[in-house]
Amino acid sequence: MNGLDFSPLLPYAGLLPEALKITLEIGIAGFVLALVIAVTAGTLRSRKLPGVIRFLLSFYVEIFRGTPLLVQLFFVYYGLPSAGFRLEPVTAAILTMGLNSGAYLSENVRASILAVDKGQYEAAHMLGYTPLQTSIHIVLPQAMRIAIPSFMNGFSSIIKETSIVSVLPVIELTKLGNQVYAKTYHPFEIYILLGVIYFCLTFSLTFLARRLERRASKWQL
Amino acid sequence: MKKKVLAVLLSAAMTAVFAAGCGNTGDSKDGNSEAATEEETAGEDTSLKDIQEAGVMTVGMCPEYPPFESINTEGEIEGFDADLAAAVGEILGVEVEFVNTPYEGLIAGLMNGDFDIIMSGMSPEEADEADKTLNVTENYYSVAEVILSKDDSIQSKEDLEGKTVGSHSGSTSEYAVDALADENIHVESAPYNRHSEAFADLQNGNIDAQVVEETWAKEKVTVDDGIHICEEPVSSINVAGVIGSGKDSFRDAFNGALKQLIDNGRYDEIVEKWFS
Repeated sequence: MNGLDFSPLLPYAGLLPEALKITLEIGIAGFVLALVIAVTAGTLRSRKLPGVIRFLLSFYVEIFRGTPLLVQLFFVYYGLPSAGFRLEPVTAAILTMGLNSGAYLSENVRASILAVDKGQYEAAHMLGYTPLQTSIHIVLPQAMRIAIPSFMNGFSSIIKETSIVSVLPVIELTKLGNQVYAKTYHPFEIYILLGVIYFCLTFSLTFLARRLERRASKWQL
Repeated sequence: MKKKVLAVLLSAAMTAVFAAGCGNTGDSKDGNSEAATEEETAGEDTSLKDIQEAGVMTVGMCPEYPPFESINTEGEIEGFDADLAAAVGEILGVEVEFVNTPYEGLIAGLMNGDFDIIMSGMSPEEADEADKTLNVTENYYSVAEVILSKDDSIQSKEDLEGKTVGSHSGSTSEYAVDALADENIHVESAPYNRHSEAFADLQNGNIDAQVVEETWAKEKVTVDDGIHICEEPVSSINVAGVIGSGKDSFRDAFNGALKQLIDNGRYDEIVEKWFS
């Protein structure tokens, strides 16, 4: 590891923006999808539901929480075509990351909803809110504020986990790193550089999260 | 890193599942590409015609194996396989397109119709292991697997007895290490995800020797002091193109084009360009 020399990597710098774009695309789109899934599944799971729906939801959560992301990626991209579902590699990556992260985050949403005081439900009921209105106008806004830190946790993880997408034919940051590594044989320089890039991405998110949290909590007593 | 090992295992498992699926369902297998559907309805092999009608031959390769294939600073794939594919495409009268695919996804991608052929330093044995029904072209190159070591007492494969030997898991080099047992040489195999990782561990002194393709060794070992390449190769492994099951007409056309390239000297030019 002695004598780090980054200069052989310079000629490949032009490939970085495209790879960075794909990493962010998968990370951000995956996270948005995860949020939608998490809020829906988390809200549903916090309520009393018919057995079938409850079973399906916990089945989804347990499967995606209980198997490695890598297995899921490989199955979705390479396995599903034999069942007639053919996805573009980037689409497959976004879908899988979204489903995977959504399963984790839905548990956070559920916990956050359960953390909202019971009195809020009772007050809403008194005011004539329907259960759906109570959810959307009273409970979810409060639950979301509680959930912000864990959402941001999820966002950081999803950005870093995009590196696992390198098992698909997608040239994101890690894959680009591997391919330049194979050509130049400078593993430490490449992985240090990758580490720095991922850190910058997630750190700026943490920063954003803190501001968001402060704003959302402004009116709280 | 464990996850990558898992990827290899998983791909092996999945290809096995696919292989079983293909074997059982044969023609009724749900074809996704138009080519595959046409093939089924016609009930005959239209693989060559499909490629010529599309005007493109898509080639799956993992560009992490210079000089066979690697990316250049423009991000394009270049190397021996790439040039040979382009020359074959010229004879068949089609454009050639490379699909940048991880090595562990090549067989699964071929079976899903992501590309027409794999040209990625793959040996016929590897293709057979994945699925015996896959078509394999004539061998278009042969690579010697050589031993790298820091230890001067290791000069031939017999000296590897009882030693720890690194190789690239799932590649021709690992086959060469595994095959040592047939010659009654017992080694402890240390599989890595990439040649470069085995090489780094060799430099760090964690393994006694590494088995690797001679082409790779010649390109990389010059950068390092104190590691020698044993003169006597462990074995020699062939490289061929791998084509989907039943696509015999494409395979025959490929072999014909290859023969033409060898006869007219173009093949030697490409070999000269990348391996000297």
